[in-house]
Amino acid sequence: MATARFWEIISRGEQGDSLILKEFDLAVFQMAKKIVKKYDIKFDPENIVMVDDALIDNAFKAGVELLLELGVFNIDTGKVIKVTEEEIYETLGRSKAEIELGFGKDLIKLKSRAIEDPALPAICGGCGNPVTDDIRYKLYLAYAMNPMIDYIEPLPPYKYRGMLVKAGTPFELAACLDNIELYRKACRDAGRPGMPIKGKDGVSAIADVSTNREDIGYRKTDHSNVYFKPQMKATYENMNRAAQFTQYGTYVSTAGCAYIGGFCGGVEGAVVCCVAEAIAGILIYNGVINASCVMESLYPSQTTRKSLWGTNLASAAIAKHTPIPQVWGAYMTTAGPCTDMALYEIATATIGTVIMGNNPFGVAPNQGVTLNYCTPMEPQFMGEVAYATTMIDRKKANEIVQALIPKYEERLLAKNPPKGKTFHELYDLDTLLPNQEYLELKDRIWDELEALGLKRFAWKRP
Amino acid sequence: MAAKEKIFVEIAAAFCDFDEELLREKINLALEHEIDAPSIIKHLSKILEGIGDRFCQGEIYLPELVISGDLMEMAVGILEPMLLSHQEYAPVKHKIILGTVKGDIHTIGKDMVKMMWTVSGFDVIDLGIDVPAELFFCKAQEINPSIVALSSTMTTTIPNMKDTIDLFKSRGLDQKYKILIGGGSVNPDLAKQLGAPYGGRDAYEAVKSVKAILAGG
Repeated sequence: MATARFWEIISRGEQGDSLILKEFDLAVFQMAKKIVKKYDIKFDPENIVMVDDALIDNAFKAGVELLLELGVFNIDTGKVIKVTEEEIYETLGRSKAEIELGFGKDLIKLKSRAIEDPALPAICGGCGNPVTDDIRYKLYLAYAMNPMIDYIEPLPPYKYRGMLVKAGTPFELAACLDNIELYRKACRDAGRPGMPIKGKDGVSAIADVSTNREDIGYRKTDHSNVYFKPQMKATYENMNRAAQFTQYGTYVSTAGCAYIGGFCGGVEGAVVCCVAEAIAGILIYNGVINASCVMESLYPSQTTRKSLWGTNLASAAIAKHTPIPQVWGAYMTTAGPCTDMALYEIATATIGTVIMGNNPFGVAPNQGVTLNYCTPMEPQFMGEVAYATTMIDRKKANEIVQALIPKYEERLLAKNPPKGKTFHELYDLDTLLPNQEYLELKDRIWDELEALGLKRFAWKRP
Repeated sequence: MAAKEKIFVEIAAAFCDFDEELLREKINLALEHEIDAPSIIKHLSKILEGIGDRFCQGEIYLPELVISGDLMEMAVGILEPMLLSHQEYAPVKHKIILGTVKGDIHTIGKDMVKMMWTVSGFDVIDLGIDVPAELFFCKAQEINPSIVALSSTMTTTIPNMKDTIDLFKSRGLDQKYKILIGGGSVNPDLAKQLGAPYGGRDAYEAVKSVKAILAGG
């Protein structure tokens, strides 16, 4: 069951200082601004992948200080959950640096990775785009069949019995269970019955918790996300998730997006909030895996210079100062499948996050919203780039990222990314393999990456 | 520099520094110099417009929009008695009801749109997140807004968005209150399917969409 510390800490949200939401939001802004200044954290477009260890140390200290000063706001009670420095370091000290996911021959070890870690990361493939029922199983099987993908992030359910899936209804429960069961079938059919799955695909907490079933649903050897609300805010609905996941015995991954331009202010404040939420998640949600990032808010993306810098810095701070395994990569691109832009976006995001200690996951093309615009090729490419990144240092990574950004930046800033093509158009629906057009595009982008100094990973030969 | 111009520069500086006390002082100073209330409001509206633009350029952030909304409210509170005596000044502030549809608890996009509409001069009534169709409907009947804006970030809450639109349509009120839809899961195709105007890809486009709808575009 959940630890005594969990109950003790969340109960503070019943007794803490009362605030109205707006007061807390503005307090986050003011405090983040003050702390950013104190620790001299400044966006540096020349070092998207930073080599300055003092900056990384300061980002961690700043995140801890923000959490200690503000705590986390329980929106349902209007009260603040405060934590102490001792609790933070004790909990971090007891945290595991390695988590076993899946079972049997398909078991993987999700590890805490250091900055510039030469060890290969675990690759989580999948996406957030909705898909139609005609390709749902085929797409899942194509993900499960892909040897680069170690474990899968599910796509959300889209339709059930001919209707769009509606959150918080029995249709959603049935659709989510149906969805995960189909994933399990795809893993079995691919010969990987013990392959782990990263959850969840539901919207409502009731759908999330009702899919925890060893027989056909999420197993104890999977991990499931619990989120913060931007910024530094929690709800009982999410604490319910955390309590149930923990008592069920599965692993909790805490996820949050620190939004640039939102309540944490600029990208520097977003880094501080991102670190603070990553630590808070371990205490308040019983998190054992961190899956968070810095994201643009006005035009959602994670591949602008600022969002790349922010995610890289926050990841580095967590990697250097905690034992928590991290899962973040090319989660989302603005461009669609089989476009040069999407592959450039995947490469820039993956190089930075992997060298800063993440196990990468992704990819949701077209900001994760277009129907059927996703294929296993995007996470495969992400995995290839991730493996290659283990052979370079931060200085080289920064040079490559700096060379890649101009290849897509103008289209991103103009909010005019190419939409690309659908799974139907890019994959043979019988063999579930990509077509020549996509393979050739990937090869062309790899040629460019190799010319920049990122060599393709090759397995050892005798 | 003429006294009026100097005071207007000082008002703008106080506003852009988000200094409530100084702004209050400068507005009172303007009134002491017999600058009429409608001119001051017009000046403040221009400042707000500039703040909205700076937000879209990434120069200032959401909390500063929130503070700007509060400052404007404070300023209008001071000037309101004087505005009432100006018959030529009949402010028509369009009301917009905004909320995230039932089942959806995402806030950040809605909050940004809300503040951009606020600083663009609209009176925004935020119903919050996880808002049932009936609450949108009852509030619209009570407040009589120009626009009812629905937000959804997840594909699984699109059906709830449709339920809300259906309720307005069932009473023939979907044209009286223009229904606008937006959010991460919404795109122009979906808006067409649901028969409601698309709010745009971001908070900046949301302002343009509302202005176009109100202009009859």
